[in-house]
Amino acid sequence: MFEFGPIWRTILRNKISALLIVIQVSLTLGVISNAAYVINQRQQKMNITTGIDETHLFTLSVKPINNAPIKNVDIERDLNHLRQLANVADATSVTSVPLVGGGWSGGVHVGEQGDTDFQSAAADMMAVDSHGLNTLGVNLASGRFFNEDEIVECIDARCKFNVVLLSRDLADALFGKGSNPLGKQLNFAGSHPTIIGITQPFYATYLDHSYVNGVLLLPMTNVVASSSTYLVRAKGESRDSLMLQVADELRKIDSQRVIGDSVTSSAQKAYAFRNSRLTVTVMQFTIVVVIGITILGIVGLTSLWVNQRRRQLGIRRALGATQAAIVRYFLIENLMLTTLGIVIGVGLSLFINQLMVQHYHVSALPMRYIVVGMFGVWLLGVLAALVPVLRAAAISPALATRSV
Amino acid sequence: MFTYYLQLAWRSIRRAPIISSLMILTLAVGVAVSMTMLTLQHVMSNNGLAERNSQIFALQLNNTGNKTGASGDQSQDTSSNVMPRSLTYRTVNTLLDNPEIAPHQAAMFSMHYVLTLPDSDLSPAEELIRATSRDFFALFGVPFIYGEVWSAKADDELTSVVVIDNTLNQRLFNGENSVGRQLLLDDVPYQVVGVVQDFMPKPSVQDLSMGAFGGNRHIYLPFGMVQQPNLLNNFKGTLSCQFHQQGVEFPQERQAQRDFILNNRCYWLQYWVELPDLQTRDKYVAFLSAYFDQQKSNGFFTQAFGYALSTPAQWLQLNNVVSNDTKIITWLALVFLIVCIINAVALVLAKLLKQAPEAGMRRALGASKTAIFSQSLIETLLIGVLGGVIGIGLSQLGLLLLRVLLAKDEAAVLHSDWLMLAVTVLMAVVASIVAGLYPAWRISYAQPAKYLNQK
Repeated sequence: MFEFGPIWRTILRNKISALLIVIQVSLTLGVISNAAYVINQRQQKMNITTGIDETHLFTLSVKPINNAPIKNVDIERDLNHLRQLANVADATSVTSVPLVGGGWSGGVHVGEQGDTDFQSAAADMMAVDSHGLNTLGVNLASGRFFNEDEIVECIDARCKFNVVLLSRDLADALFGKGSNPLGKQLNFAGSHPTIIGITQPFYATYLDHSYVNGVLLLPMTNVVASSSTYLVRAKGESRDSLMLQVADELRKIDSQRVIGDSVTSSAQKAYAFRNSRLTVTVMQFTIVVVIGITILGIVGLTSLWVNQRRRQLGIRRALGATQAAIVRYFLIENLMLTTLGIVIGVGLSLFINQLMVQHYHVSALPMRYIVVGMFGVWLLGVLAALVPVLRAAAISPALATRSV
Repeated sequence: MFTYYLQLAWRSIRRAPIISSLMILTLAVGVAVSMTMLTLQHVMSNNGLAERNSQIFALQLNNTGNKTGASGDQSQDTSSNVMPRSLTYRTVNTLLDNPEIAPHQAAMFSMHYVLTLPDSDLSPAEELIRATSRDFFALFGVPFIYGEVWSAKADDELTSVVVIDNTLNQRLFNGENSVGRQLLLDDVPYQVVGVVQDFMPKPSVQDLSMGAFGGNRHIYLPFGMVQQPNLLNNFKGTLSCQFHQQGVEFPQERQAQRDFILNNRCYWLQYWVELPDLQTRDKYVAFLSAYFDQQKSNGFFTQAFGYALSTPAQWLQLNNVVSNDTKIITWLALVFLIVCIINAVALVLAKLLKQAPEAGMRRALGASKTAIFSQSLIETLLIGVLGGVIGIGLSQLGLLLLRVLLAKDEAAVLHSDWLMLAVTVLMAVVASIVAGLYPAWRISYAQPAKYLNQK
């Protein structure tokens, strides 16, 4: 039924062409499985839900020309003015720009060092005023947010915090999963603030959990005395026009200062992920092209073989071989070669991955990528061969009688 | 003969337009993808200080318990050490206080100020400024157009002098000799003492602490700026402190914070030294070692002496200016090129074997194997050249795509130079030769008898 023996011997007569297909298939599998894995890793990194209303948010900074420290009353005056604008949902001052991928972080603790129940975690710290939560668009899980009179003024003075909020993931890291730390005290930077609220988990400045466990919200308007950053949440679709308006309004209030460029939080996030996006795009493109090239190669080589054997095919047909038999012959030949290529390709994929693990800090390739890649390339090989093979089957038996 | 073969090749390409254009396209795509990625890597790893490569070094001192930095001479292996990539003020200050240990030393950090001009309607703009010691210009070979560098005293005490580069001089003073003129930084007047040529290596190898392209400045202030009480308000960059005693707290008051940073193990300064020969270098290292031991005995350093001196090329490598992802993609692109070449071999084989009867006829009429071989090879060579030319076009498209995806400062330098264009064509030609060798050899062995018989 399956003429494995004769087909194999035929292949051996055409060693170079067969080798070309095998190498091409194995390289394709090596490239596809590894590239797909890297793409998936980068996409997972990029597809985080930040938990803040990033599409409606933008920041801008103001800095007085003379090096005079910004006064709290100025910040409040600016923000109160902005909050009156029709398209502003809310506004707050922030100590770091959201979603830039890194900022102010530090250790926070529960209990005193040496205690048996001493716990530490790394917090992504962001100081906001009493409008902070509503501006960010983060929901409370329990407790309450800062009141206006709890916001600390912090210029060249000891910043003493009485109250703080934790994000759920930071609370989990410090107090255990699902715990209720409301009313408990935190030990951080020499003060012992009370936890008054827990927010839903969200990302403030850091975009993954490799450095920080979660977010610590502090009630403070200003630490960098020489400039201040405002975070504004726009209503509806008004963000882009509002960005221009806000800068104008701030300039109107006080022109003796540098008004920095307004940057949307979506843009900050996109910028932070620019290298991952580049990698994903280039690798996706390469996968598509490499598949295209491989199809071309298989179609080309199979056509070549079909052409070389036109007369033999004619003879076989004349001697009674059905069209199905011819198709089967070429498909089995193709399957044998692609399977050989795939076997080598699995080794190659693992080898390439091993090199990347050693030199470029990529994690080990999961088996499912290889398995999916194997079947993909296999299918690819068969489908690519089908076109020339069907043409081969259509060769009329008369051809043989004519040319011999 | 060559032109005749070229004519034949062109005719042969025209006769089989589909398979020929497929070959050209395969090579073009393969070359374009790999050249796009190689250009990115080429641009990112560009060493703007290459001509000073064997003479100037970035210094790192060991501060960890990690092995990499712990043993004596680590200067050989700088490719991947975990030592901090900046130095403490105490170290830098000691080195600068001993100018005899090296011909030139430059310590530096970045500051940000609002720049304005007195009596001018120039709109205020925030400027990043290089604060550095006076040797900076000699060490990196930055020539003065007007004036000269500030005095040695200005590196120790607060002095309101400034050096600007040509670009800023054009913008502020229309390129005139501006020595003696004033500009305002945060409303404080500074006197221009010199105008230098632009120094903008890309990547900014002299200071990679703020990103691969974030270290070039138009304004230079003396290192004495560290004495400014408000230093932390104007400092820009990364600063990391190691508290060696439990219970040490960072002070809250600005001037106290500055003193804390100057006196403690805080890493924030970039530093380069010129060491023209081994003898100077040995002396320099001996000085370092003595300094380290002394500071270890008073508890400032806690680890064993270890150091690294990196050339600009090594410094770029150490700071991962070419990211791992970029390297992976480049390798991927090269594997892709191999796939394309293999594909081209298959196509050339298919095409040439179709021409076998013609070759057989020529052999029968007296053509030598070499003649058939070279004719076939010239044909694939022509295909390679065409593929290379189209490949240049496609790689420009690829670079366009990359520029969209990259950050602004990276995108701005991403252009292929003549070298890369030449490499593109060369790569395509080499690829076509590789692809054409076997088929050409095979067809030159075509048996005349077989084909004559058939006809």
